[in-house]
Amino acid sequence: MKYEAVIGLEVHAELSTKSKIYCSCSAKFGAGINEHTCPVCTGMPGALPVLNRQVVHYAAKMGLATGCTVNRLCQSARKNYFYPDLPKAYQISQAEHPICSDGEVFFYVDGKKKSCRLERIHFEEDAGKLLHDEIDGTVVDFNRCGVPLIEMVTRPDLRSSAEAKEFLETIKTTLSYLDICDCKMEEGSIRCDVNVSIRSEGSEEFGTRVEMKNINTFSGAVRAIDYEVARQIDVVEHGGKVQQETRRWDDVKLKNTVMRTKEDAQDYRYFPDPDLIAVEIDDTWMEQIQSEIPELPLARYERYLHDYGMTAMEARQISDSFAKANLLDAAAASGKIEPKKAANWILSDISKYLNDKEIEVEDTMLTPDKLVDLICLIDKGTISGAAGKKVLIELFEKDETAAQIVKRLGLEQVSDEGAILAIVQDVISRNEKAVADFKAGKNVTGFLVGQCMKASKGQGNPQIINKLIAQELSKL
Amino acid sequence: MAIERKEIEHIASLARLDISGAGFDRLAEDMQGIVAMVDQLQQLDLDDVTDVIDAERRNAFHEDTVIQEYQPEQLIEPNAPDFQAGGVAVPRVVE
Repeated sequence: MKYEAVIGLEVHAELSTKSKIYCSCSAKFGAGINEHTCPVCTGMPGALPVLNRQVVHYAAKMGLATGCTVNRLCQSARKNYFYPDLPKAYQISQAEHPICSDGEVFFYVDGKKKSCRLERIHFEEDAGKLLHDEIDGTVVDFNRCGVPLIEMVTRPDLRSSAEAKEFLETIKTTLSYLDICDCKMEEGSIRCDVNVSIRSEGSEEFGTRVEMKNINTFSGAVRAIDYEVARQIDVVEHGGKVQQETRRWDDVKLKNTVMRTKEDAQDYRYFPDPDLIAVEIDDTWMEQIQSEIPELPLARYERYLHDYGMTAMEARQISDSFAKANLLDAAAASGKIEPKKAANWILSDISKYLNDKEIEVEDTMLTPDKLVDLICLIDKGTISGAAGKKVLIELFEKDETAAQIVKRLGLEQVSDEGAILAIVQDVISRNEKAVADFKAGKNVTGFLVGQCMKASKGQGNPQIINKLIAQELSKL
Repeated sequence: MAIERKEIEHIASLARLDISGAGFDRLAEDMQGIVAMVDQLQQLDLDDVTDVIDAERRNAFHEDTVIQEYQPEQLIEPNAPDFQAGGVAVPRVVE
C-alpha cells in the first residue's frame, strides 16, 4: 500500500520587542541569570500583568501578512500546567478568542505552488529556562518568562517534510520582512512542534496523529518528520495501530521516544484571564498596521522570476533577504540599468563581501544609487568589469560615488583605439615566441591579451584589445 | 458533593499546608461550603449563554519601553527556598 503523510505544525516565534509581554522587563536574550525579572514575570502573588501594545501590533502584522482575519476583539486566557519554568503555574495565552484566524501561506516546492492554511495566530508569554550545568541540580532562570511569542497553528495541509520545510522557510522570511522577529534559530527565536499522521494515499480520512516536541531547527523538523512517517508506516505494516501520543524528538540520536500517552494527556483548563481586559484593534490602528507591510517574499520571488528573467534559485536567493531584495528593487526602479545586471552583482560580489564580513547591506555604505552608477560605468565602457569589482569594495567602505572612486584609483578604462593599438603592436613585437607559436597554428590570443592588459596596467578595454590583436595577427 | 477527609489532607499536602491539629475542622467546613457553592452554580441554566468577550473595558497597554528595577538578590533570593548561581535551585529536573 502507498501511504501519504499528513502534517500540521505549531510554530512559535519570539517577537523582537524591547520589553516583555506583560511587564516592562527587558526581553533581550543573553543576560545574567534572573537579571531581567520583576514581580510580574516571576509570578509573585498580587502582581498584575499589563499587555505590551507592540505585541498586539506585531501579531496583527503577521496575521495580515499571512492572509488571516485579524479579529477586532481578542482576549487572553490562562493555560494551566505545572512545571518549574512557569512560576505562576499557568501561561497567559489565548484560547477561544485569538488575535488572528483563518490564514493561508503560499510557497513553492520543486517549482509547484502549494499552500498551507493557518487555523490561528495568537500571542502568549514564553516560559523560563532550566539550567542543568550551573550547579549540582537545576537552576531556574526566569529571564525568558514573559518574552512575547506568537504561535501559528496550521491546518493539517502539509504532505511531506519538503513541504513542511518550505512552509517554515516562508514563515521565517515573512517574519524577517516584517521585522518582528530576529529569526536567530540558535537562540531559539523560532521553534516548532509537529503533528504527523499517515493514511493510505487517496484516502480522505485522517489517521491517528502523533505530536512531536523539541524541534529546534528546520532541518531537524525534516529529519523528525521523515523518521516519524517511517515509524508509523512500520507500525501499520506490522499489523499494529498508531497510538495517539506525544513524542520527544532527539536530533542527536535521530529518533523519538514517548513523552506522554493519551491517558496522561494534559488538561490545560483554559479560561479567560481575569487580570487582563479585552483588546480591540480599531480601524485606524488596523490601517496603520496594514500600511507597514512591505511587498512580501513570495510576491517578489514571482516578480523576479517573471519580470526580471531570473532563475528560480537566483530569485529565491534575493527574495529571501529583505535587504538584498530592497537593494535590487531600488536599483531597478532607477530605470537606468537592466535589473538582471544588478541581480548578478548582488548574487556574486555583493553577497560574497557581505558573507565574508557577516554583515548586511545596511551595515555598509553601499546604496542602490551607487550600485546603479557602477553598472552604468561598466555599461558605458568607462571601466572594465574587473575594475568594477575594485570599485564595489570601495563603495561598501567609503562615502564616495562610483565616479569619484574610479578617478581616485585611476581605473578609467582606455578605449582609445590608437593608444591600445600602440600597446598591442609593442606586445607583439616583444613576444617572438608567441608569434612563432601562432604561425605554427597555436592559439596565442589569450596570452597576448594578458600581456596587453598588464602593459596597460589593467586599464585597456579588453574587447578592443581582443579585436586589435586579431587584426594585427592576421597581418603576419 | 461531600468532600472526604482524605481528599482535604491530599489537597493540603499539595499546597504544602500544615493542617494537623485544631485547624482541620474549620478548613473542612470551609471546603464543604466552597464545594456546595460550586454545586449551586452548576444548577444554573447556561444554554443560552455564549462565550463572548467582555469588551466594556478594553485596551490597557504598557508601551514598549524597558524598566529594570530589580536585582536577583532582591527579588529572587528572599523568595527562594534555595538560591544558587543567581536563581532558584531545584532538585535536578530531567524529563
